Amino acid sequence: MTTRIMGGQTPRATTPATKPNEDKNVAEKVVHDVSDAINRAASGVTAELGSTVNDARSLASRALGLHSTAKGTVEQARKVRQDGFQAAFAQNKKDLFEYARQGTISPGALGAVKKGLAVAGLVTGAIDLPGRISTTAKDLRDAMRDGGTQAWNKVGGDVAGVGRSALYVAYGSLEVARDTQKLTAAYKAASSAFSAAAPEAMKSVVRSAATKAAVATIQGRSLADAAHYVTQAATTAAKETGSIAKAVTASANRAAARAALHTGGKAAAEAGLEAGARSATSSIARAAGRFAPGLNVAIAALDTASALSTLRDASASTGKKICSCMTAAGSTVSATNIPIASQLGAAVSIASGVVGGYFFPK
Amino acid sequence: MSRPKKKPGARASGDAAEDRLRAVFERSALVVSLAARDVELPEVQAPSTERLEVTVPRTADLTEDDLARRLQALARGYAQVRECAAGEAVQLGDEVCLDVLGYADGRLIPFSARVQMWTDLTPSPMLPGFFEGLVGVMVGEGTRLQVTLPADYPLERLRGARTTFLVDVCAARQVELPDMQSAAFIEALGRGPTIGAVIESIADELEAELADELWVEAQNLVIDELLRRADAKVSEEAVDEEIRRRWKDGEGRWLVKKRFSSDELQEALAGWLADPLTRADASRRLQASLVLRAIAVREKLQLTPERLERIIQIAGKPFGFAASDLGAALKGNPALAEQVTAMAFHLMALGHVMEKAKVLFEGAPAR
Repeated sequence: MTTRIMGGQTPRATTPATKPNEDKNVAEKVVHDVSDAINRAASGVTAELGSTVNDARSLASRALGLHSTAKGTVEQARKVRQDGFQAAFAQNKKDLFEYARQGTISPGALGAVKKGLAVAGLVTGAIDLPGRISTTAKDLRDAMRDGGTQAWNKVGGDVAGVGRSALYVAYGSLEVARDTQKLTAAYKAASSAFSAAAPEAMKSVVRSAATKAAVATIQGRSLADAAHYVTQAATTAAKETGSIAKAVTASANRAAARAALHTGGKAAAEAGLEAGARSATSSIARAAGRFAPGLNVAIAALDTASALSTLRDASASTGKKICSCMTAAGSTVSATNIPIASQLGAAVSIASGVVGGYFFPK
Repeated sequence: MSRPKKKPGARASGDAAEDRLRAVFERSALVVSLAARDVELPEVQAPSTERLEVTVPRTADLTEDDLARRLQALARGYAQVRECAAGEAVQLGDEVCLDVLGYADGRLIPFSARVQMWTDLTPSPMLPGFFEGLVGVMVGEGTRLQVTLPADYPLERLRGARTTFLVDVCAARQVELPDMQSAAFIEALGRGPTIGAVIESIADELEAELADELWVEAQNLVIDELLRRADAKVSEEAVDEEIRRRWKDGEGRWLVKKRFSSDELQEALAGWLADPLTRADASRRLQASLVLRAIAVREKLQLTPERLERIIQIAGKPFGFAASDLGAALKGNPALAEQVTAMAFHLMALGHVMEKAKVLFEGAPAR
């Protein structure tokens, strides 16, 4: 028996769009269409995230690269209509307006305008300057994508250092029953290969949320702990203590002894949960510091990196932050992102029953 | 102020703006729709949990480098930090916040997209020329870097590859670490009167973290054994959906903001979908969750409010969240509540199995 899991929710009722555009003036049409686009995007965001309509509109506006509020966007468009582009931006960006109007810009002014845009925070504004190098420059990206022959849909044993017999040479042939152990071995082998090639890049720096530095990292003060090098000063300081040898010798056995304290029975259940959650926080920096183009960073690391991003996002709701952290904790122990438990009608009910009552008390 | 006159043949600026806005919106809708797929999941027969025994291999000893790195991380909390101004050129040793896209042979390199990535501006042998090439770039500006990956790059098919990176320097900080052997620094740390005491404290902390990792490994080994017993299979479509959702929540979301076209987004997603380790991981997760669910149903486990609160309390603690926050935060938000509950259900079922399992740790004394 199989059960279908629906991929999306029915969008909720949307905020009504602005009045139909009866005016041929382009700016009026922009006002109408922008508001309509925001409302449609907002409905999708609301459906997806379950956020309030106001939050959704704010998110949708930002996603569209517009002002943070729909009202701000409408106001900008109105100024465009009334006064032209020049009034929508600072007056000293004259050459920028010329480009906006005519598609040309004097080369001599390009550098000054670029700096001005950066200062004004319009780096990713609605108008892209010609020749500007940025990850948002689609023409540049298109130029780098032309003429390529590499098809990333090829599947092969690309993980360095792992024997062919231990790799998934074609995902169509994967059988979990046989290859589950290989998965662990493959990941470890890939990790080892990565470490061998760039040891400084792979080493975790901040692990435990118990440390002050780790807490600061999670709160966004610093991710330098994900550095790919250790300063000479730190190494010297550590060496001169005379405690290094004692500290590192047999540390693995001591760690194992600590872990073994909690084996057996109910203690094991909570010990595992606690360990997984703590490990999730510590892998945040590890994930953030690992920049290896082409190499899978592993789903658990992605979830913890996502948690970090959400925690640092001032606009994220408390509920979203908590949810991302729970996801990260579950991810370290192989949880799926698809809520199969409830959707397959098992022991959990959201809309009714004891759990529903927890979140939606009457 | 009078409206500027248009030159003949010039495109109306409003049309261009309108086109851009509409295009961005369409891309946003595309990303949302990319994850909105139906997928079939099988009912799995719950495997036996009798005589469940795993032995967790001994991990490697801590190294001098581990201790030094942690000491440096602690020192970072007491560093003198100056935020670099927009338009200021970055220098080696700065901390930089980057947006990155990597291309090889005319294609976006999978897993190369980074947004708001903080890193130190120091050379790395794995990416020769990448970090060096950023020196002098102004905060708020972007640059294009050509990097030839080394012959020992971890990914075989990229070894020796000529790659191009688009990099935005979003922010930067000038950081001056304190003297890690100074009395003032040692006193501020509050971990003992001497640097030796600090190192011992660090080693103790790292050992605790190693123990946590051993427990994570123990749980995953138990899951491996359950999967072996269950022999469950999931469809490739289900694996696609698992990967697609994660891509959407992470890289996909960022790429929409980068105004990626629909074919660019498809290319980025294709890289994830094709990666063998990503597929294996996704497949394993689905099966693990299905098997644990089946066990929970067979053994009539109930996620009561008390259990839910306890799980959230434990899982949220390292992140600084308390269970009392959750109810208020998720009231009236069914989507998030469902996700949190589903994760709690997984953790509850796994905890139930771990209670029954016998776990041995190599290197631990016999009990």
